[in-house]
Amino acid sequence: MAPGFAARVLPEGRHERRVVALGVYAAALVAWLSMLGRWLPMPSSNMAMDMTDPGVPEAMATGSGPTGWALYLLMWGVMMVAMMYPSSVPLVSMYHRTLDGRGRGERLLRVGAFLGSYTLLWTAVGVVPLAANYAVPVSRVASSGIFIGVTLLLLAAYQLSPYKERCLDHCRTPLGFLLTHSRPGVRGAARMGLDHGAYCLGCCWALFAFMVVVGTMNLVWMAGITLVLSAERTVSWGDRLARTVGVAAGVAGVAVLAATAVGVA
Amino acid sequence: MTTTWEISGEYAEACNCDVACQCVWMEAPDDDHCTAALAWNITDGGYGDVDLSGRRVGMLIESDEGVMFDPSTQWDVVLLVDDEATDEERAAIEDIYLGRAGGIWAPVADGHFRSTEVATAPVEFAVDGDRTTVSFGDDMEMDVVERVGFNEEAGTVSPHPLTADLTMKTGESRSATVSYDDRFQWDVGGNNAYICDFELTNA
Repeated sequence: MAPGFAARVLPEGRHERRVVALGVYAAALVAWLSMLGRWLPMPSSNMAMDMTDPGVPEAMATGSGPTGWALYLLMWGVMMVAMMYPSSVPLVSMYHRTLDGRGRGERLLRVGAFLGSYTLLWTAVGVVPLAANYAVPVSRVASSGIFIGVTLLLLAAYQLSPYKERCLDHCRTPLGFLLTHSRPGVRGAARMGLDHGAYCLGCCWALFAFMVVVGTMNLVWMAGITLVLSAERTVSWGDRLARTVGVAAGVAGVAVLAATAVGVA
Repeated sequence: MTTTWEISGEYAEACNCDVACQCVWMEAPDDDHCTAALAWNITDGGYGDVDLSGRRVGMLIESDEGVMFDPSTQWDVVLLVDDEATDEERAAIEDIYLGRAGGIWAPVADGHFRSTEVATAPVEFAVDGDRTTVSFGDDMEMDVVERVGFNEEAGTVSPHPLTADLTMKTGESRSATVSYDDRFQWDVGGNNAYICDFELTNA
């Protein structure tokens, strides 16, 4: 920006924008701390089961009726905040910038509606691993080489697919998203949150499917996957990283299946 | 300061890309940089209490090499305002188009505008059927026609951010010349043009 221009521009929301960005990071941090500190309530406290083991949170939830499902979705939502909020900050800040000229209350309400619908969408996605678990308990098949191998191949296929690339393009260009998805009003903001969530879902669903298989509450895998999906969505070499992860998953999947076939695993 | 703005009317643009401009698909422009002239005829709307109907606005853009909307690509921009605008109207138009008043221009200006100048000129803006002719004094001139395809229907391109429904009619420039300062000199007739009824707002 030219100095002459910058000197004349004093966007009213600049300070507020920093606060909003910090707030989003802070929400993610609190979500991480609640995972690390295991502050979240879970149905039943069977000490024989380790929450970080594959399929255990899902089994506990589906075994505890509606309360279990609700608590699982709460946990899943917090996990999504932890994993997805950091890489959404550029878009949230940019969206806030487009609201210059609106009153403070309205700006915050719209940013809240945007993040709120985004979070609700992601929380609702938690129904998928639960339903899948209801049909086939992950805890029972998690040690099966065939199950893990097939999951890895599914991840590889999606990472290398054009759908993944198309969704990443949207995530990596917050300006492009705003230019083409901006809608007026609070309801428009909520709608934009859903649209953004749909693209993120397109970017990340296979990674999350993999995470459910290795253990939904396994913090080491959570951290690793967060780093990968954040880099994929924000840096210029993200598409190459996505393909590298795809190739690695493919190689690992074939290796696991081959080892299973010859009886090593 | 709380200022809502909302403007609508007729729009046309002409650039150096062959038909059609590939920037909307996140590809590098022809010749790897963009020289574009955009023009708005505001028929309705305003900025707060300032009525902007009847005002005409032009924009000249020359981008760095590379994909126009890549975060690192900088643009030099000239904002042209019709010389019948009052000081208050011109200030409102500057606030909107230079990104000081929210809406889509805010992040565009933040991310891409390297230099901006504002100039005034006498304006002609006429739509006659499928043809739009625009001139801003000697600074900018374009004469564009819609391109029709099967069934004599105008082709459309989407998503293009400068209209509410994201859909532009594809056009071709009969002529498209810009002559402003040393840096903004081009003659790119016979290339891409887009035409639409536009609607922009920060509401």
